[in-house]
Amino acid sequence: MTRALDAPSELSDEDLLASYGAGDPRAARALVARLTPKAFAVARRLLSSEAEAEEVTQEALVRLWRFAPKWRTGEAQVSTWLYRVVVNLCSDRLRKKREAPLQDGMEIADEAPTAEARLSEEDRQDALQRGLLQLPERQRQAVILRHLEGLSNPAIAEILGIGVEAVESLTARGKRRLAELLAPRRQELGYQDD
Amino acid sequence: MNDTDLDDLLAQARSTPPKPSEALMARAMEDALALQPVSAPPSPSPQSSSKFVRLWDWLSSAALPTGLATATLIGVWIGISTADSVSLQAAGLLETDLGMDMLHRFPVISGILGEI
Repeated sequence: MTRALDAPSELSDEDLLASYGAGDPRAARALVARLTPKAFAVARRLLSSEAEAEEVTQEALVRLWRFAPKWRTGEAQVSTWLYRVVVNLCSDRLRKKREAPLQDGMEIADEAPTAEARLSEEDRQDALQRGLLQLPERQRQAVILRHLEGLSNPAIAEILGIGVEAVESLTARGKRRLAELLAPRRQELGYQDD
Repeated sequence: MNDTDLDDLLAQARSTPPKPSEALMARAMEDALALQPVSAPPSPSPQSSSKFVRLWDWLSSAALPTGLATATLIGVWIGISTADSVSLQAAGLLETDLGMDMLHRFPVISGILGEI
């Protein structure tokens, strides 16, 4: 039996999904509001194209809507399931298109600007994104899920289908590589030399 | 760049995630409503007695490692689907415990199985 949908924001994803499967449109609205940003944030960071990230997000959610009537309570977390679909769909796209880490025209500057040339916040985030896109795919996935989505290592392990130790290794190596990639732009990013 | 600086940059990125456009939110809403059941879903239908379902049930009852059972079933499914376009829906696979377990463990196959 589904719970009364008096306060959707207080209900768990699973409860909302059950209500969705039972035909309550308020659950549909609550789930879209809650899950679309999560799915898009991961897809956008994994892919270099906003348009592709939107397509992946929409496709992942469609799969959830279709699966919803058959969802079994207590088996998995809805968000973990959705993240897994998003990660796999992004991997499929990268594999099919043999996408280069950066889009055409999005080359990282070879020359370092002067210390006085500080980047805007948007530029700093753009520099981080470019760095992320240069990581090996699995390291990128682990770093994004851990440090940008704030997921636990066990949750990431479930999403990526690997062990917790493997997640820790991927995350550590990914961060190390990211630091190396961003080091030439340290001053530009607003950080002082050691 | 040291760990502290990178952690700072990552923390700032975490606080400003990429946001979906209004157009994407609208499309997601449209899909959700279009695919939403109009009433409570029907009870699972009785299992088909197709050979594939019997194989499925045997594998689920056999003491096989889950990964081996799953890989076997996917392989058999691929063989059947390319041979004579068996409808997975008709076979009632998704109504079996193993079928649902597979979808929870490997959500990506929801795309392989097509319309659920």
